[in-house]
Amino acid sequence: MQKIPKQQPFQVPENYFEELPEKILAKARRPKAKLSWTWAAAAVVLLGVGVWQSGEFNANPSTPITADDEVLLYIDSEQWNSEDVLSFSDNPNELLDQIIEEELAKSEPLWTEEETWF
Amino acid sequence: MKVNDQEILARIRSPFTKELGFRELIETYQKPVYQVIRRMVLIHEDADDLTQNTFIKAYKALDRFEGNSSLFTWLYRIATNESLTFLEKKKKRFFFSLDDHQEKLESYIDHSSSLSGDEIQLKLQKSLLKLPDKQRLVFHLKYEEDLSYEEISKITGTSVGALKASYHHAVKKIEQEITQE
Repeated sequence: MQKIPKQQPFQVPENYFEELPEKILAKARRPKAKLSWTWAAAAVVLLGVGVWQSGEFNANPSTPITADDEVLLYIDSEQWNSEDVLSFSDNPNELLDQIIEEELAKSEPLWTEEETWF
Repeated sequence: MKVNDQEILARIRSPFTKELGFRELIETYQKPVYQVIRRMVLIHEDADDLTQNTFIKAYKALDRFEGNSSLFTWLYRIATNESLTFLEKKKKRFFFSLDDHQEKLESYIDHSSSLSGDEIQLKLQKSLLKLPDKQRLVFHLKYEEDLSYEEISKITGTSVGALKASYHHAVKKIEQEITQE
């Protein structure tokens, strides 16, 4: 144990702790903005944009294929991967955060007795 | 004058002194909360966001705080969960190949001026990064913060036995790493 040094405290920008309480209080006072779009809505936008970019959506109006089907075909045939689909969006990082947020919400609590610790 | 938990809680629960109480809560605990988060996420900007989120979440949930544990333990529980959730998110992102967070952290250790340039400290930071996040957290809480296993158990909701085993493994791995030439 003596071989392990104690970690030094991390340095912070000047006046950080003097200004932090006010920053947090300002956030707490702010009324909560409603989430403007859910993942479902985002997916619809993505799919729509993707199909529009493909330029084939209206190529053959007699074919009864939906936008969703078409995007899935591209994904299934490995012409598009998840990154391609994400890249159709203006803000892929924000979308990805949203998806992960929802996945995490569905997953198990972070601390469970059964999990492996080693 | 240092205010205690009971005074802070009493102020927060009164509509007339709610904001004053919240400010006192932040001023009393911001440094340890920030440090425990920063140890986990390393980058100041991330630690700043998560520290703010921790206090906002605490503020919103204070009505449900029953006082079975100290405010410190309760805040640490929120802070450590925030940190682990954040790291989990970053890992999932890595899966999508948009962002390699581990590499980013290693590079941060090498280049950040806010970490001690001491060679042994840098070695320690890098060896800590190789531990699983939860094991790293247990190591920080036990070794760096000097908390008892009982306190850590309250923060993490994990049994003392599991924590002791986890800590033992962490220490062995770090010792091995930093003594390697």
